[in-house]
Amino acid sequence: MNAISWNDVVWARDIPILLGSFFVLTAAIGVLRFPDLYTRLHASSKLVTLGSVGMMVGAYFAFAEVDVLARITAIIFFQFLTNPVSGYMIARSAYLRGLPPVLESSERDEWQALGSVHLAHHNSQETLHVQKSGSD
Amino acid sequence: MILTLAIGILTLSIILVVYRVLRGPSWGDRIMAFDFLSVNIVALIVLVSVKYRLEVLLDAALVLSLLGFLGTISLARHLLFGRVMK
Repeated sequence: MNAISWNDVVWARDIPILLGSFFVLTAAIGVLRFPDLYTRLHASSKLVTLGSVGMMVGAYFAFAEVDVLARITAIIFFQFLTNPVSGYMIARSAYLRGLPPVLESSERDEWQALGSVHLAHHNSQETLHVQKSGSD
Repeated sequence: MILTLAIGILTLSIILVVYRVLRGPSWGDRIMAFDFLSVNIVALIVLVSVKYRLEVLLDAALVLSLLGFLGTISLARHLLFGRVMK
């Protein structure tokens, strides 16, 4: 068991990686401990995006080459593009399927009228599986 | 040293979230945990490529991030409509 030799620590590589791993661990604890799907999504999508992007910034400083910069920039761009969309899609699907928020302290439900309008629209086009499964 | 610590923390968080995949109360929880796992595995591949100096793994991380997004969107649409496409 060696002591940590601080000369081996590359600070520009290790500080973003350490911050990112802290955020990812916090997100995992939040996913385990929060009482509701929507609060778990709040922990999952935001914190995991920030943590993984921090790790990739640290990975760029570890390599410090141009082609690695191109790939890591592409990964960061797609993470920022796709993670909010996937979180929004999961929350929208669960809400339109009728999963209620568990917390009693959640006062405002801004999708209460909008969700019924969406469901009526889907019902008129017969895109819901529940109605479609009986006909054919 | 800190790279090994970060890989251990990522593995610990993946193990913690697999519990949420196995017994989430609803299917939305399972899809959310699957999305968490896909993003975490991308970060884990990037850290392994830094540790072992393999730049080739970054291409795999790029492809896997897009595939994870596609799988999450497909599962969410399947949760909502009962099928993926028209």
